[in-house]
Amino acid sequence: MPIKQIHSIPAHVDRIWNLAPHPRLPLLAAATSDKSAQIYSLNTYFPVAQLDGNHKRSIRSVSWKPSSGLKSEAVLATASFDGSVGIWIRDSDQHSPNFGSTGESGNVGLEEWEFVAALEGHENEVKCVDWSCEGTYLASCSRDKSVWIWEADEDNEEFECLAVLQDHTQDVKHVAWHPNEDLLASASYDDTIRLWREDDDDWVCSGEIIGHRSTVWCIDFDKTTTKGKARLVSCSADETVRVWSRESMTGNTATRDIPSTFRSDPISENWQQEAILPQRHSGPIYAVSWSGQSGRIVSVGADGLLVVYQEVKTGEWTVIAEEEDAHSVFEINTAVWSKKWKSTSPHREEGDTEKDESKKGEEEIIITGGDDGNINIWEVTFQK
Amino acid sequence: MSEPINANPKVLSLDELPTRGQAGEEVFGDASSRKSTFPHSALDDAFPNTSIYESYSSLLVLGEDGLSDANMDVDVAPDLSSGESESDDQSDIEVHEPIDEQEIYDLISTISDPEHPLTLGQLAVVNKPDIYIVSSKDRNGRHNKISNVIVEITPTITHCNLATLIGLGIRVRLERCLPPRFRIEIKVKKGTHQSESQVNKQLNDKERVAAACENQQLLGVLSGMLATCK
Repeated sequence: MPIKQIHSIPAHVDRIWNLAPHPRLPLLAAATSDKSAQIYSLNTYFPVAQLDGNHKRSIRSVSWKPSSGLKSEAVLATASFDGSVGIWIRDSDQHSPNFGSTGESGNVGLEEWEFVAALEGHENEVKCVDWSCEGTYLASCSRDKSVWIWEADEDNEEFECLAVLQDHTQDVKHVAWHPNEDLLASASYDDTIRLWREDDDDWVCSGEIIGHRSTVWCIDFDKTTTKGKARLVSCSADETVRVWSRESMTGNTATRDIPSTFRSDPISENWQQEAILPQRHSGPIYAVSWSGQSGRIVSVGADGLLVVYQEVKTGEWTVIAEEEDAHSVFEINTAVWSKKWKSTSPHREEGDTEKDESKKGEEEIIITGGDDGNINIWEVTFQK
Repeated sequence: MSEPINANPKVLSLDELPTRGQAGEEVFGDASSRKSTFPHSALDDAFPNTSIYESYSSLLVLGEDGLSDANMDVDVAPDLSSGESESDDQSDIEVHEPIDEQEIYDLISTISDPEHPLTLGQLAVVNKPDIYIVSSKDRNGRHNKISNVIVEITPTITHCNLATLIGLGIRVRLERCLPPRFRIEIKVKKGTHQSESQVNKQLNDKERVAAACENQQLLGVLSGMLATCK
């Protein structure tokens, strides 16, 4: 099996629910059942900060705001079973330029992060949060069957709710924004995936994907194709991982200047199943992640299996790596691709930016979190 | 709960309930059918550290000839010590404990019904023949470390809206008592509840169960139900 575990972080909590690497900084956020979120350095794998004291129940999901302005800006959203979304900001005054190396001495010298806003409104457990590609919008979803879209002010302290979307008939498990369009996808206990866009100041359901036979736990967009067909991957309690592609759209951005009341074509998109990935899991599949770097997909679930798939040609996928008991006998709740910050090769120097094209896959890692409270770091190695 | 949902449930007397002592007759009786449906149901007992007591009942389940197998107790013991060295690959995870259907039954049959001063065993909501332990083998023929415990509950009436609560109580009890290598599946026995699939989906949704267990009010009810467990 061309996959190896390169590190394991014992987070010492009951359960890791969700992990999110920062899109640009060597930071990893973990959502845990002990009502806190932890921040780790992806350079040292040491803890950087502990975000606690504000949520009253488990934190289920974490999402980084894509940073645009200040280089040091790090803004994290946390979704909790207590029904609220929290916004946390790293105190930019205290951090050193090479903050990624802080925490060398373990727990000593953890950074202070500020809790700047609590977004209230959902009736019960918030299950997922995600920032849109440019950080303009924040989406949240809940067991109350709704998806909320929020807009932040510049300081990330005031949030305005732009829409409450209630088309799902059961809890909404996951939300994910498209990598470069303001297109939102949501996955639900009602077995469907829905797509949402803004249409003349209103957010509307622009598409529905029906096909899974049980709860859809997680979705992720294809980040490699910026042109052409949009695609997304989904995983479900029906033990399948499926790839869907957008076949057509009406009422798209070209006609956006015309108010919807004068338009003949309502905003809508048609998504079709492109592939069911080779079936390996037995039991619910809790997470999928689509690598923006290699285009590979990883899935994990209750069976403790970690599976990596690669597309051979459009719509045809093969399993390239598989790891049983990736968190010993425990269930795995989350898996995500990340840039590899820490070099494990003695021959390559830190900060060596030259990339050997053939080793492209080795520049990325998979990070998984499970019921054992561990965060495991994996690397797909090349077989020639 | 002012009005009981089922005011007159059928009640089994305590001496009708299956116990370890009578396992011999009872398990032996349905051993052949169990064996064909779930060929690996008792294989967990084959793991090291099995007490003679437990291997006795597992042999009865597995064996074609229950009585003669039962007499082999003494021969089983030496195998166990040698078995431990053979399973080094598992010892780093945990020592496998022998767990059989009777043990699961004993763990959950003593849970109290939320509306009657009776146990789930007495009300026949939990029945031993409806408990299955399934372990599978991987491609190399080794036992997977993970085993499944399936419990099918029989609500006292088909519109019992406490079925979810009862199922949750069973799940919480098993999650607290069983080692983490067990995957617990709680189902309503086919044809015994009008909204079977909804109840099943809810009881086996990890996130909903986790969130429910953070609800203090619900936890209070659950701990009352579990208070009668030994």
